Formats: sequence, structure tokens, C-alpha cells
Amino acid sequence: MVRFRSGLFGLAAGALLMMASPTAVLAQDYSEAPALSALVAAGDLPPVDERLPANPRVLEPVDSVGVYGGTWRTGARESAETWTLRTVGYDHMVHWLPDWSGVVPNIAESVEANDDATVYTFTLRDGMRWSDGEPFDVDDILFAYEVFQHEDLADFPAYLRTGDGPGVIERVDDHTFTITFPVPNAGLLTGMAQVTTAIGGDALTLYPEHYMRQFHADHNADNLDELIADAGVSTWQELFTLRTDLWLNGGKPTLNAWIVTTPFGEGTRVIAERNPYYWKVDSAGNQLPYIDRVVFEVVQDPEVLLLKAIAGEIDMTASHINTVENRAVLFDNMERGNYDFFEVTPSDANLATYSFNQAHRDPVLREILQNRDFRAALSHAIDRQEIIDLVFIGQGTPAQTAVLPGFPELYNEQLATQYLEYDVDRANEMLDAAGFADRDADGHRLGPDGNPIRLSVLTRSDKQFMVDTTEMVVGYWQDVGIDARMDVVERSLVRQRKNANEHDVIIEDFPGGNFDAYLRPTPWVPIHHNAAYGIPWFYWWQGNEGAEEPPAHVVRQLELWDRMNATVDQDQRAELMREMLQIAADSFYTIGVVVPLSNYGIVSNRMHNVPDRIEGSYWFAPPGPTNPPTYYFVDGTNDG
Amino acid sequence: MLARYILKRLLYMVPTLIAISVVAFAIVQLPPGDFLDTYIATLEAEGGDIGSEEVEALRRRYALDQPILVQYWNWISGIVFRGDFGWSFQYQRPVADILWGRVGLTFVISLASMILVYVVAFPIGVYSAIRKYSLGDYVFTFFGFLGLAIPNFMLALVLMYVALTVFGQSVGGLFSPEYADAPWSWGKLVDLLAHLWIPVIIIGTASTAGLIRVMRANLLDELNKPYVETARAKGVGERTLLLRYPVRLALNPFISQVGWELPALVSGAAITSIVLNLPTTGPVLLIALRSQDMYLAGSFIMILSVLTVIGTLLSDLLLVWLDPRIRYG
Repeated sequence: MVRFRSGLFGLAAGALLMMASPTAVLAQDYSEAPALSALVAAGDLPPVDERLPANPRVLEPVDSVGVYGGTWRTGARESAETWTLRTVGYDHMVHWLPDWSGVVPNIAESVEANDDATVYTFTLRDGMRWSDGEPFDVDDILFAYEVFQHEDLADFPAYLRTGDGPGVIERVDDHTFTITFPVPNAGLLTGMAQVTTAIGGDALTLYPEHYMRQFHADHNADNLDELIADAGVSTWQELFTLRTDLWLNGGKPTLNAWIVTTPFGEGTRVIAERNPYYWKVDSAGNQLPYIDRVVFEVVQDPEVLLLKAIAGEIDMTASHINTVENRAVLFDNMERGNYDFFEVTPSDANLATYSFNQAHRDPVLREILQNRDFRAALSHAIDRQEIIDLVFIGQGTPAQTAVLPGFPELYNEQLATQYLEYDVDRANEMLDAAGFADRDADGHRLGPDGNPIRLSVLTRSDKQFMVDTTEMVVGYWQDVGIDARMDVVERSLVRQRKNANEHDVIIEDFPGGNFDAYLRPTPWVPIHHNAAYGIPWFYWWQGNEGAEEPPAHVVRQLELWDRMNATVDQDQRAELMREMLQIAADSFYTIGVVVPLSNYGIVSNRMHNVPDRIEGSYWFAPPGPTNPPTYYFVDGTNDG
Repeated sequence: MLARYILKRLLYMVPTLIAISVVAFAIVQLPPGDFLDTYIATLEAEGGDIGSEEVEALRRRYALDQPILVQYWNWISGIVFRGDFGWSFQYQRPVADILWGRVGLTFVISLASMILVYVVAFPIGVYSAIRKYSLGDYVFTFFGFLGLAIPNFMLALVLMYVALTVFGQSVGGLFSPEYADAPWSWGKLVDLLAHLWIPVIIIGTASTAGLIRVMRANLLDELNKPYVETARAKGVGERTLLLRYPVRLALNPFISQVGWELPALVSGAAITSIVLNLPTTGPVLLIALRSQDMYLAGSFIMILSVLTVIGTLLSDLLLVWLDPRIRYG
């Protein structure tokens, strides 16, 4: 099997071809779960050979080939939930490789792209079926395309859009389609591999045409009004949205390994049962998944899950309860709950990044905040180790906001380590030299207008560690004569003020320490509304209101970012990113404080094939890419 | 006479409810930002986010870009003309689905706690009044105030921990895992009762103390009135006397309280329910308000207000029936 270092982009220019691993298993060798065999014997289900596609995806288990049976008990919250999507829901057109080195075809048998990333050709698996036994083919993709184009229904996902309009999807034959973009779109496949609640890496395979058409006004003229009334909604658009969400609609056919049979809202649990038409097998030809069903305990307060975990009623989770505070109690109860930890590697570029508004409305503050030496001095004024010891219980490393050393292709030492040491004398010297030597009677340094420099540090109230960190940082800055105050407000108010460019300094945490630097390099280039050091610059790049042309070096960075997104060749992409990051290092937009040590999840001692270490980035959608259908219980039962 | 009174009260309810609907909607709009801001903030809390094009698309889809008056009209006209309470952004389904599905268990828990409260508070209140400053009065008062003083969520956590460590009982929710999705059976009922005592005690303790005090104070006011002396002088037995005259009068505040109990039955005890993970309505209101899920929160407040108005009417009618002074006053 060919593995590409960064998926599609691992190959040099030329016709790019991605292949699924060849089927090493002959059709007659396939076997299935005992419960399904019984259904086949009773004539209620076609034999396994007929249920699987001609070329099923073959997964190599991490530890060993498993046995069928058992219930995966875990937890979920009622709204804005992603753990469900990352465990049961992660079956997209392409997947991240388990080590996050790139993407691999999943639902698609193969994906080809042309040289300039404008035309992609997807080939689907012949004979693949939805969970109700209906064929899955290009009709389903075209139906999704129709949905995106309908103005009242879901919009095109971001990865299908470009600055010059969305991609065009066309049928080649029943199992092949192309997506054609007006301008190069090198981010298509990495976009599809991601999971979020809104963007949806699974957008193309979300609409089983044979089922969803009954809820679409253009396709059902018979009983749509009845369906609308039965569902208690007022428009067909609402009905369509409601029926699309498989987590609310147990009747919807799916391509996932488990079918949601008890959806959200029908009790305190969400239950998903084995999909008899699942289209993956293990290396020995056993149809996956091994585990019979997944049960999510739906909770309002994660403390309930913590108690359940201690009591041994949670088989595997890396969400909700795997916090720094819970680590000790979960560790103490390992034996009693019969579970162990696995490592979840964070990709946070920093947990506490202070962005200084360089496009401030007030010209005096703007001049001060744009002064690089001023920012560098304030960085030296922070005792990071003390913050780590007190706020993060020692679980962190002092660092600026940067790509982590663990991702060498984009690691920039200057960006990660400059102005890092705690040195109050040096901070004072730098501030004196930068023109802020004069002080008022209270010892506060004066700005160029003769007034004391006063900074408000906007801090969101929902993350306690940010409040605690800012409280200390504000103290350090007071010590060097800067009148910094903490302003703790509700998180959506932080967003509002930031969007309106009404902030001085904001604390944020940022991803981007790993492969996600290619996806969201927000702390280093203003391509996102969280780039609080230059919100008007971001608006300028977007062409929005409130824009202001950024300085030349930022314009250059934005050019590099745009070029990177139109470039297919991985070496060139990395080169463009490195140049962009170097400019960020020289500009020093933000002050970072700490990157976390490892995070953790818990897994029952009876559950196997869960890797010892999983990438923890939100963009990686852990543990989805590590193939939950291959997880299994010893002897096929939870207890024993 | 009475019919006219009721009709008049019903007519008064119309402008009251219109005013309430405006206020309910306005309250939900008061915090800065809208649902999408909270939604994005939630995504960001997990390290994710959402592009600004998506935000704009969602804003259009949820009609959040419309003027507030248009939003209000869409909402209230749906309720009045179609019985449609609107769409919950957060749960991505109709508001009615979320609310009505939870009302049943909320009623069970609230009713059970209410009965417990009355059964405990009534006799203790009477006892404390007639044996004022006795040892029993002090003991009951002490425990009553203890129940009032300990925060519900704290008590909930302690009881859950005790249930898990001492009794080995599965905590959180109303059923053990094996019964959660099973059809109703004797075993399931027993399992429900085994779980029900925790929330019932917790929700009950706080209001018990309050009611004991109310009952005690009311009764003390009545006990020294001349009519009690008169009845006693005429040789009425102590027990009969107590129950027939002063207790009846002391009951009035109990009855007035029905007006507030009705909405309380539906809103449940939010914090306790969250800690205990009960599928009741209280937590939904809290979550909806926090996330600015405006149609859900607005509809919830609206329903509670309607119930309060109806409850007040009911308690007034009960008082009319119970107390001749009001009837003829």
C-alpha cells in the first residue's frame, strides 16, 4: 500500500493518484458477526458477500484481529456534541491516516486530482450499500450537490468553495464523479477529512437520495404536507434539516459502522447498533465492526460521567472528563474501574496567547501596541514557570505561540523560543529604550501623549485557566510599570468586541501546533476572525467592511497563504508556510505562555486495538482516524 | 356571580399574556450577541471553529439577520395560529419536541417532592406551633434549617457519592443501565423508585423548612385568638378544635402557594437536575438561556408564565371555595 506523507500532496507534480489498499481477501473468505449469520440463515438478510462492496476497505488492526460482541459504553452531551461524530460518525469520503501524516481514501475507492488541483475525480466502491441495503452511488452525491445549491437548505461546505464560486460536481458513470473548481483548491481533501458540527467533512454523503427525496419539495408532491405535520414543524425546509441529522433521526440510512437506533431526545441514552451493510473488513476478512453497539450516556454535567468511569461503566472516552483536574481521581481509581490511560497528544500551539491589537482605533495605543520592543519587553516580564506551577499544576512547558517541535517540517525555533526567559531587569531596560522611560507618580509608564499606558486584557469567563493566567500576567506587567487590567467577560461578548475591533489585548488559545498549522495558522497570519492582533487586516483580506490595508509584511504573508492553498506539491507548500512563519517570527504578533504536556483518555482493560497514543487536535477528530470499528472486547463481552 | 368573576379574570389574562410574551422575548434578546456567537464560542472551547461564510449562511438560515420585530412576529404568530413554538437552534429540532418530551418525568419528580414536602411539613409545622420552644420544636427546626441551608447541588453530589460507594447503586439519571430502554415492568418501577428518592429528598429538603416555618407562624397567630378560647371553653376536644378551626385558617397560605407550585412543577429544580442528570425541563431552560437559543428559551418562559397565570386563578378560586371571608368580601 502506498502511503503519502501528506496524503495527496506527497507526490510530485504530475497526474496524482491515490489508491486504496488492494483487497487481500477473497470474497468467499468473508465472515460476519454471529447475530448477522443467524439473520442470514433465517432469510432476513442477504449473505455477507452480497452485502459488502466488490472492494471493501481493509483495515489492519492495531493489536490483533478481534472477536465480535460487547457494548462500548461512553458519554455525550446533549448539544454541540462532537464526541459522537468522532467515534460513530467518522466515515467521510477520505480519512486522516491514523498518524496524521496525510489523508487516505475511505468511502471513495480512489481519488485523483489534476496538476493544478482544479479537477478531482472520485471513484466509489462498486456494490457499496446504505445501512438499509439500498445501493450507494453517484446519485446520492448529485442529490447532495442539489441540496447545496438550494438556497433554503444547507450551504456548500467550506472545502467545496473557492473565492470564485463553488466546485461543480458532474457524473462520469454510476461510480465515478468529478468536482471541478474555477481556481485551484488544494485544501479539498484535508477539508473532507475533518469533522466539525457545522462544516461537515461528510457533507457529500449525508443525503441518501432514495430516503431524503421524500422530504424535498421538488421530489415529493404526494404526502409532504402530512410528513411536515407529523414532525410538528412548519416548513419542508425544517423537516428536511430535521431528517438529515442522523443523531436525531434513527430512521435515516447511513454509511457508518453503527446505526443510531435511539437518537437524542428519546431518553437519557443514545444507542447505535451494528450496521449489517458496513463496507469494511479486517485483514482476516471479518466484516467490521467488532463491537455490537455503542451506548452514549447523555449527561448535562460531566461529573456524572466521572462517577460512571470510576465505577467501571465507561469503556472508552477521550472527551468530557479527561481534564487536568480529573487526572488524579481517575488515576487513583484505575484498578476499581478496570481501565487504563492512553495518551492524547495535544496540538495546541499555545494555551494562553496574548494578542496585541496592532490596528487599534486609538492612534496612541496603536503606536504603542505596534512597537515590537514593547511587546518583547512584556514577554520578558512574564514568569511562565510560576504560571505553569500554579495554574497548570506543572503540566506545561513555557513557550511562545508556535508550531511544536514535534512537527519539524514547520517548526521555527525563533518563533517558539524568542523573548521567553523571565527577566524583569531586561524588560525594564527594553521599555526604557523603547521610549517609555517616563513614569507618573504611581510608577506607571507614560505613552507618547504623556498619559499613563493603560491596557485592558479581555478575558473570557468560561475558561478558568485563562482567568487565572491573566490575573498573574496582569500582575507581572504592573511590576514593569504598565497599567494592565483584567477585563473578564462572557465569551460571546469577547467575540463581539473583537469583531468590532474594540479590544486592546485578548487572551486566546490556539491550535496549529501540528498538521493543523496548514489548516488554521491563525496566530501567525490574519486569515481568521480570531486573529485579534489585526482584525481589520483580516477584513481587508476577506474584502469585508471595517477593512484596513495591512502593512507590507502582512500583505506578503497573506499572498503566501493564498499561494499555498493553490499549490499541490507538498514541498512547495511547506516552503511557502515556512516563509510565512518566518515573517510571523520577525513580527512577533503575540505573546505565548505555555503549551500543554500530554493529555489522556481512558480505555477499559478489556478493550483492545485502541492505540496507546492518539493525536488530540480537534481537527484530527480523535479517535475517528484510528478506526473505532476495529476496537474489540476480550472474549466479546464487557465483563468477564 | 362566580361565572362572571371567572370570565372577567380570563379576559384580564389576555393583555397580561401579550405583555408577558413581549417581555419574555425581550429578556432572551438582552444579552449581547446571538445564538451563533455562543455556538461559535462553544466550538472554540473545544479547539474548533467555523468560517465566517458559514456563520453568515447560518445567520440567514435562522433568520437572525431579520429585524427583531419580524423575529418576534414570526415566533408569536406561529404559537397563536399554528401551535408551533419555533425551532431550537441548539437542539436542531422543534421546540415542542424538546419540551413536551420532558414534561412527564418532571411532573413525576416535582409531584413526588411536593407530596413529600406537604406530608412532612404539615404535621411538623402543626407540632412545632402547639409545642412551641419544646425540644421537638428545636430539633425539627434545626434539621429544617439545615436542609434549607445546604445547597441542593451539594446535597446531590454527596448523596450520589454515598449511593455509589455504600449501596453500589448506579448514579445519575432515573434508571439503571439495564432498565433505561427496557419496556415498563415491575422491575423497572422498583428501579425507578430506587433512583427517585435522591432527587425527591434533595428537592424536598429546601422547601420543607420554609413550609414548616410558614405553617408554624400562621398557626401561632391563630392559636391565641379568642375564638379558640371560646371553643375550648365550650368543651371541644383539643384535637378536634385544632383541626377544625385554627389549622383551617392557617392553610390559606398553603393554598395561595398552588399558584406558584404549578409552574414549579414544570420548571423543576434546574440545578439539582443538572447535577443528577435528570431528563427534566429545568436544565433545558438554563442551557437555552445560556446559549441564547431564543425560541426555546422564549417559549419556555412563555409556558411558565401561562402556567403561573392559570395557577394564580386556580388558587384564587380555591381560596374562594375554602374561605367564606373572601367569598363574601
